[in-house]
Amino acid sequence: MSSEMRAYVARRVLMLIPLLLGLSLVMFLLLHIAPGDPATASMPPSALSNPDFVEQTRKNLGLDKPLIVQYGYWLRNLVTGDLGTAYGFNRQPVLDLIGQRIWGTIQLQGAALAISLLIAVPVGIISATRQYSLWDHSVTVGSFIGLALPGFWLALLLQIWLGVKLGLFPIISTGQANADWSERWKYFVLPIVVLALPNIAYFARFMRSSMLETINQDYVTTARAKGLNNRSVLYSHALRNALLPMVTVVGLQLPQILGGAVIIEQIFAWPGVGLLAFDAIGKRDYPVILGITMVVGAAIMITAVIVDIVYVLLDPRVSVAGGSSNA
Amino acid sequence: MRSQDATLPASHVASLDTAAEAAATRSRSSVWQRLKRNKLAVAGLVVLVFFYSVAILAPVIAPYPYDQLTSGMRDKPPSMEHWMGTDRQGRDVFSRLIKGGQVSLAAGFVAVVIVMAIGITLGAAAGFFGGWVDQAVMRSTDVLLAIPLILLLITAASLFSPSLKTTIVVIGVSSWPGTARLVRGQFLALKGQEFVTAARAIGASPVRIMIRHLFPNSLAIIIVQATIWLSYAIILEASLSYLGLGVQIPTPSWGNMLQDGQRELLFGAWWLTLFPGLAIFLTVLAFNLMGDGLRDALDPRRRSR
Repeated sequence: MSSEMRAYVARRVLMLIPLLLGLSLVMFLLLHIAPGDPATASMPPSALSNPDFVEQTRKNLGLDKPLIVQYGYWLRNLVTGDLGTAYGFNRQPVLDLIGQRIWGTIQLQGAALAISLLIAVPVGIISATRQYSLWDHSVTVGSFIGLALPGFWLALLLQIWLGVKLGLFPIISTGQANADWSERWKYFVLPIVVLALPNIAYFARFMRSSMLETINQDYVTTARAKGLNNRSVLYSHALRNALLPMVTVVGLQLPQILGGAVIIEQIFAWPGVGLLAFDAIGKRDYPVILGITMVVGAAIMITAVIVDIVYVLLDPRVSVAGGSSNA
Repeated sequence: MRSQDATLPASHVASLDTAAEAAATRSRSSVWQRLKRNKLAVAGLVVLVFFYSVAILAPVIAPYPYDQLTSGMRDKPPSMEHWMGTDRQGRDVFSRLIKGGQVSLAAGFVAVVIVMAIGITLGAAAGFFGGWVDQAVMRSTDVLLAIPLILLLITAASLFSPSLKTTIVVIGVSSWPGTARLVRGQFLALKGQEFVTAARAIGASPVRIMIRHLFPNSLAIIIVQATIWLSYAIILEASLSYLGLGVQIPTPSWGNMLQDGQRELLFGAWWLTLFPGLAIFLTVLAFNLMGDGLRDALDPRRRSR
């Protein structure tokens, strides 16, 4: 790593601190300017009529303090690696709650992403090498359809036809974590199909155009002119360079992937961070919402930095000297 | 078209403005020619014109009032009287679908107007003025882009009481960063061109340069972006309404019709979810085809893919 590269990495990593602070401030303000009181959000009506009890609850949750003080406390805890305590969820630490759920999300999303790439990359390559063939046209039409299908609608249809009517796959994921893998994989099928379909469409289209662009480059023509056979030109010269932009595309898909988790996990009752977020939002559990946003935000920001760095390392044409941040 | 602008004699601001407009008109007509040759894009356009016409003419076309309850007509499958069947309350699904389309398409349209207004203004300011303005705008986009949009939308929509208005405002004010970045990039690239320097030299004000020179030359890219966002906004509205956080019943929208009908699906009433789902799918597909065609038509160097 050159010194320029080291400076670039350091600059990008340091920039994460103000960005994460900004993110926490935006979310903190959003949560606290919204109407409604989290102290009473999940209280039974009988408790609501007792003002002393409501006041005591507000005090216990720290909601009686001025906003700036609440934010100060929250920041002070954050520095020590503590995301605070949930209002509900048996008042567990937010970090523990996220820790219990994050594995579920990583398993599902990781599998979906891996399958998407395993399908999309070859499909895109074949399309590019046979441009305007029947296969290519079918892939183009297919990817338009894949991108336009609303995920929640597809989930609903699959749940009814494959789940209820044919009984092939379970439609609700409760309890899947304890099942044996010989049964457990069935829980993954429907959510993975719904998650992977738009990604396959998007990645395949991108892979196709990236490959087409590379095939038409001079050095590929040169390799052909030298008399190398088509196969070796495609796979040893063109493919490597065509795959490069995929790194960026996949990395930058992360916000969409994590966003999709919220809806899909809710539909399939998948025990992941997305479902936790959905529950927390419904109960106005501010510390949990804030904690999840921070973890997700940090993951997305760090991925963006890694993607940029990997790109610089892989592509010698990209220079970092004097380059500003990711603006 | 940009290079043509640059070679024009810059005698005074007015002639430069006219030239910019002429270039814009010229390219508009050839864009239309190229777009017409793209069959998929034309198909998308036809579908969209049809859907928007139906939505606008909803009260005339709908055979029944969308909220008319008919006892004894619960969950009836499609028939001659009710083309798309009836729902749990005995309401005509076809009439509701048309009214829901009006709500969904209008919501998407207004949300995109807000997205574009904020995105273009901030992106233009960032690209043109640079310096701390640029830093402030870009760092804000960094922060907003680090939260998955749907998570932000669900949070905001459920904190402020869910309604049609909340949905539109929430989508509008949280979705601008992408557009801002795009417009910024475009303004940044154009700012250094000769025709802008010429306009500046003869004393055109920054606002005039932005509105008369930079904006018309960025219009192509902005139109493509708006088309794409129209389809996103419709999906986002549908997702929120499906989760019960968007448009609230009894006002129908394609999203809440899906939510309303999903329980009946278990008992075989497929018409309640099939038609609204198809409507969303076809609208989004049409927008994507159109957006793709527009992008190719506006940038002739791009091979049609």
